[in-house]
Amino acid sequence: MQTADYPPLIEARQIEHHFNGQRLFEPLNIRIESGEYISLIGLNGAGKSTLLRLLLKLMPHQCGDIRHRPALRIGYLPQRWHANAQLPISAHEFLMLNLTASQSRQQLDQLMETWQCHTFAQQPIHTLSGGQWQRLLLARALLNQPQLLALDEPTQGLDLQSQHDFYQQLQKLHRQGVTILMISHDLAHAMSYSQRVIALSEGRICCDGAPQTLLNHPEYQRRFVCAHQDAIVPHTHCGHSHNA
Amino acid sequence: MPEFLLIALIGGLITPLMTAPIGAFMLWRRMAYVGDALAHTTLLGLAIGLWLQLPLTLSMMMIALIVAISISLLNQRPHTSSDTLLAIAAHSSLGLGMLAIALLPEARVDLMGYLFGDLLNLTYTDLGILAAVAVTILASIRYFWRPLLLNTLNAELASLAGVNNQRIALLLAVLVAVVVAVSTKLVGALLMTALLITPAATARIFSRSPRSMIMTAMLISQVGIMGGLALSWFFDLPVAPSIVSLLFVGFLLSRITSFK
Repeated sequence: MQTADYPPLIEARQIEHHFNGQRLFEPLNIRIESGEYISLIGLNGAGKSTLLRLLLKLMPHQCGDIRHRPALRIGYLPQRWHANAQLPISAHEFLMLNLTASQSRQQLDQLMETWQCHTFAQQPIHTLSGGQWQRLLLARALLNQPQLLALDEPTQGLDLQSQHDFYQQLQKLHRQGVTILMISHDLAHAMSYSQRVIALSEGRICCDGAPQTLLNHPEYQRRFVCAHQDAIVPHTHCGHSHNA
Repeated sequence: MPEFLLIALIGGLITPLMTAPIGAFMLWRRMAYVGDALAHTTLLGLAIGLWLQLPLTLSMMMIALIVAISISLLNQRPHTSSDTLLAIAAHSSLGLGMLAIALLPEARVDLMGYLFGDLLNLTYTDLGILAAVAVTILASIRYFWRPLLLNTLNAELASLAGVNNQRIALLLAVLVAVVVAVSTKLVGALLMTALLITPAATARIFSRSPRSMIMTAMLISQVGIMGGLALSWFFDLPVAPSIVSLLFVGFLLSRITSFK
């Protein structure tokens, strides 16, 4: 948890991003404190992945200021990507490749054991199932013992059991003190596991707070719950019931 | 054995040491068209070399490097399509090169040799250049192995692991340009991509790691070149098409055996 002695893990002030000459965000301010479990939600195209990449400094920001705590260790799970089948590389070799000089082979073996990657260690990465792939990427992200674990829709394409297992693993990491910052389309998960939910809509943060406070937030209701219901029952007009 | 054949054999054994690893990276990164386009640009290098009376390999390498670096830098800008740039660079260079050669009435250029290779006319100087470039390419790939492979797997993860993706993309562009420029003499500009990509694609079927794939591709290329030379020697066939055809047969056989 945050103490007065420590600065936030990430502090972004007045960041903006432009794409094709259009402003993707209004100037945003975000602080990520140590020990938080944050879900970043928003409809498709809201700019969640861009915002996450900006916060991690994976892409240059065009305006504003983004500061990381000195020597911040970040683990990152990118959005699901398909490993190139032309590149024959086993799960073990993939992890070895990511090992830096300061990390030991023993550390890697331990991580493989913990995340049950040893069962498919010699399998080519392009043949792994969705669940195995996510476990491997999670093991990779944890190689540097990160203080912040950033995840971009990590459960996309996973079956319900694998999703459940994955969230359990995340909770375990969170209990061990790892800060979680996750993009999620799974509102139920965001509401039940997260301590804080940041909702992005139309280029701005429309809600930011604890899930309980968010549930009663009118803008959250209008933009997310109603949008979700409309998607399921297209003829339901949430605005009517809202006004009623 | 005639001396020219011995030189061709040695050249044929050295060249795969650089074409195989570069070909493998090109296959992994889906850059097959880059090799083709750069091979086309070497005609402009040939023409400039003739105009300025420079060593032809050097001028071809310079033009290939300029094009490869320009495309790599332009690629890093948003809203540019690499295949469009490559197509423009390749065919403009080919057109300009042909025009420049046509304007050099006194220059005698063996265009067929340039387009389809001239392995049997390799000189000791060519061998020296091939060996020096092969050692440089192998050393570079060994030194930058981790960042090259990480960047090939996923640029974002590479970036978090401290890899400078732009530099790595530039490095690879330079390596491809150099290999294409010096190897064009063997199989020619039109068949260059076959020597880069076909052995790597064949090796993929038998390989379980990136290193083993490169080693297998080297072996396949060497066998293909030796076989092509043998076909040419015993049946009086053109060398480069024989090499490329053998490599293609090898690829087909490997695919057929992989279905069993």
